[in-house]
Amino acid sequence: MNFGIIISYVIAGFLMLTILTVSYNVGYSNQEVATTNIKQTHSLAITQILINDIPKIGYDKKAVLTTKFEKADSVELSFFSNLDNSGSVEKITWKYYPQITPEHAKNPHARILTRTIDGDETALNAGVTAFTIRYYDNYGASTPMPTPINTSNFDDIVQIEIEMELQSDYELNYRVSDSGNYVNTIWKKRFSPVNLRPN
Amino acid sequence: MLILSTGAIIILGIMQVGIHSQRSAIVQKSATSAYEVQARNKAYTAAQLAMERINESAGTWYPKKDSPWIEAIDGDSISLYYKLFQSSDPEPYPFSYLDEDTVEIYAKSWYRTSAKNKKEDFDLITTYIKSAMHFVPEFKSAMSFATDDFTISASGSSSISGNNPNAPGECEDRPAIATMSENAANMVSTNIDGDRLISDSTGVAYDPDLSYQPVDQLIARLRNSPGTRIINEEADGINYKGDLGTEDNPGVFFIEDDTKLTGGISEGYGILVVRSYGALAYDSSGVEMDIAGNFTFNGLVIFEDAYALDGKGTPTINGSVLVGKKDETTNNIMDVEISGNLHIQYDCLAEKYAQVAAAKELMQNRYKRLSTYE
Repeated sequence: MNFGIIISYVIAGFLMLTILTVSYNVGYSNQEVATTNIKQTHSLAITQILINDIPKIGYDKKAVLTTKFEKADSVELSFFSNLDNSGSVEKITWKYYPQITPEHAKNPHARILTRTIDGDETALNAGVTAFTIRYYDNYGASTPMPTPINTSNFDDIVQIEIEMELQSDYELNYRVSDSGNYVNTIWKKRFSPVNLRPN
Repeated sequence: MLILSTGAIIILGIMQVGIHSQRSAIVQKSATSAYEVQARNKAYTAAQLAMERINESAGTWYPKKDSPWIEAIDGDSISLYYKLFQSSDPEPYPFSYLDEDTVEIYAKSWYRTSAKNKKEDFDLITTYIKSAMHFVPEFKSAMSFATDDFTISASGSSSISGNNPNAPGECEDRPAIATMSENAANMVSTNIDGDRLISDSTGVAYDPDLSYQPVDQLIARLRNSPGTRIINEEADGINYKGDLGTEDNPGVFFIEDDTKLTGGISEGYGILVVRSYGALAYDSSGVEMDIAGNFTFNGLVIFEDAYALDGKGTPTINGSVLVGKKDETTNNIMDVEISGNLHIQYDCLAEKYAQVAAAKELMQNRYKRLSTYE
């Protein structure tokens, strides 16, 4: 019996196990990072539209609109703006449906987010799983205004905070026995639309 | 075994490099967001700088779309031009100086995205109403006493009127005299015959909001302004023969010594400040100044720490007279004597001459933001 060969096989076995484990971890990490990157790209597509829309609340050429909001809720924001700086004022509505899952969505947590301009609706199906809108009547305030915002309090709004979460379409589980692990990406921004500023 | 281990390690290394590049991409996306905010702030800063330059240049600095102003802010350049829209209801000259014009500022700043190394720009369009600041207090009566340290008497054919002298509705009727306190108002009512005080509003009123501040600050600024005319014995002698402003060019004048108007001056426009130890005498007995035999000043006349207006002729002040003290803690009492044929007439149109005169010297604009597009 050659104990040297036996021991070398044992060591080799440990080494292989270690390499396989590390390889599996790296592979999982790679998938996680790649999925995060993809969801961030999806998030960027939506946030760029939000960043284009929200600062323009209440804008019109050479004037601030008297009526800036139609509805201000935690899942729906409807406002008026001359969005493209042309001659007409549009009504823009961002609405999140927390109870409705898009058809053919692979992630059961995904919900519908829509953007409507003067009745022309666009669904943003990028795996949005949470979308919350908060309103503040003081700059830097920590306590948001209670929603839905009453029509008489629309003029008090000076800041709008939007928090959005996206999840991957597929699960990413470390073990076969695990389930329900989706990769998250969260985006949050507080806007101070200039045309809401009290002059 | 060694060969297998080596191969596995090499593959792990390649995977690690892949992960690193993806992590970099995630970080770059966050950095781009920070650059966007920075570009936005630069555009706003550029708009603020533009307003200051418009003020300093009295409107002569005017970059246009085909030749914008390019400036470096915090290492990166911005591009800016503006459009000026005249008031839709302009006043006739010189009151057009007070018109509210609309300024539309177009500012552009740039940033480079980390992910694609691509240049992106941020555009800002912000619209303001621009109006000249004058700090002239609103005329609340024909003659206002922004101090209680005075005595008053009247003689001759002098009179003070707070009624609208122009077309109906042009000006509101105001009190003939306004004081800071009820005691002072009572003193005036006792010492002045009510027939001399002409007003459909009230002859004498007291206004607890009446104050010499910030008029004293306005006077201090105007005194040092290059266009202000300082009339004193050293420069002009006792007999002043210059002008006191014209209808098209109202001015700011400080009387700081005893001065006689003997140069044929029949009219003045703007702001006339008579200061401590200064006294203005209108001598109508001489040959030189008898064109109409009277002198009319249109605007605001301020007597600071002194009152001495000796009119042998027929001087008229259209606008308002303000009497006040620079330092209320001093004990000097001003003896106000309204004598001869002096007539003080409240006039809201003459108020505009005072406003134009002050605005031209201060060269400062107020900007009220209308809307912003970003």
